[in-house]
Amino acid sequence: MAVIPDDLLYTADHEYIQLGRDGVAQIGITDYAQQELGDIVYVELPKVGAKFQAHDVFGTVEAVKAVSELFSPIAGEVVEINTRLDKEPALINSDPYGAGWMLKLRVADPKNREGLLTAAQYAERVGA
Amino acid sequence: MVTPPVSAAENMAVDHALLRRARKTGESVLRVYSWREPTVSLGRNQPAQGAYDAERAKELGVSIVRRPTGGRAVVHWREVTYSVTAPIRGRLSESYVATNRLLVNALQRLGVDADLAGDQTPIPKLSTSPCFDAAAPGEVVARGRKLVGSAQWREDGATMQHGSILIDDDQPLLAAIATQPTPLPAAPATLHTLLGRAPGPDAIAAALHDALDATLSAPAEPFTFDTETCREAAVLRAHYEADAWTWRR
Repeated sequence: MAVIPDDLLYTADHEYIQLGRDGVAQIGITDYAQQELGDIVYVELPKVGAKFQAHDVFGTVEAVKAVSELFSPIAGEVVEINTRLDKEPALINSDPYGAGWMLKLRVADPKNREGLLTAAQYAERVGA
Repeated sequence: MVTPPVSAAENMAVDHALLRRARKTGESVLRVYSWREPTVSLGRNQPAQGAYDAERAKELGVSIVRRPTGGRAVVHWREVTYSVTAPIRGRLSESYVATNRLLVNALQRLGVDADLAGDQTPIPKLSTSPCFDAAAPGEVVARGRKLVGSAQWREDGATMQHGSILIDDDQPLLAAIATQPTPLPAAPATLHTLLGRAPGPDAIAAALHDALDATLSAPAEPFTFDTETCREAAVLRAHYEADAWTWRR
């Protein structure tokens, strides 16, 4: 059973976003996504300073046999990436909402939440 | 669809264009193909810089291309490559299992006692060691050795899985182009050793076609390239020919 925390927002592509009060959002993939992918062996993340629009590809994640693209849930600029994932990509499997976070984005417009799903909407979508 | 042997970059570009087509049209395509010259295909994210000698490969007449899919290096020569491009429907993990079951069905039609590797199979690490060195859970094996090396790419609502079905073992060629002395991996399973004969690409393609028809409610329709897919493939070929992509890691 996938964990879907109530205090996060989600995309249909299985990313989550945690919006902070400082305008910086933490982004990763959901517990459901990591379960579907299986053991993750590599993550390709953008450089700090990269800018994305909502639904832009910001990286890829490689599980044992499948590569999946990662989509930005929201427009913004990368202010930090999780460098631990370079050597420990399996953190995404073990703690997707904690130590397995992928990047922090300074959000272009914190009030714009177009296309984002609540926990209940995401749970309904994935049948959880 | 069976396509004639083309260059390494063109093969990857065609698969990529078919993935885009699947997203746009919602249609799935099973393609069976081979390669114009011996080719090493690298996994999308595997390390390659400094690990393989491009000049030595050229001397041996071996092409090197990097796949859009994950996994490790494969030598394509006395083998058949398949690709399945399809829109993602249902759970992400189901398409991988479904395609591998199709492969097992096709191989059994050829007389091979093929099966899927169990969930307890150890997870291979991303490295320069050959793809056929070890099977991952759910991959196609025969007599305990890997027979088909497969990898998948999921992009925005569509998925592409391609893989190599070995007729004979050319994987030691990887050691021949490695920059460091590399011990030869254990021999993979091949159709030749399993059957005592080497079926041709047409026989393998026919078995795949029959296996596909057996899983569908209506027979599969022959595929003809449309202009847009051809144009996309022509553009994408430059991407797969570029050193910036091949030697990105």
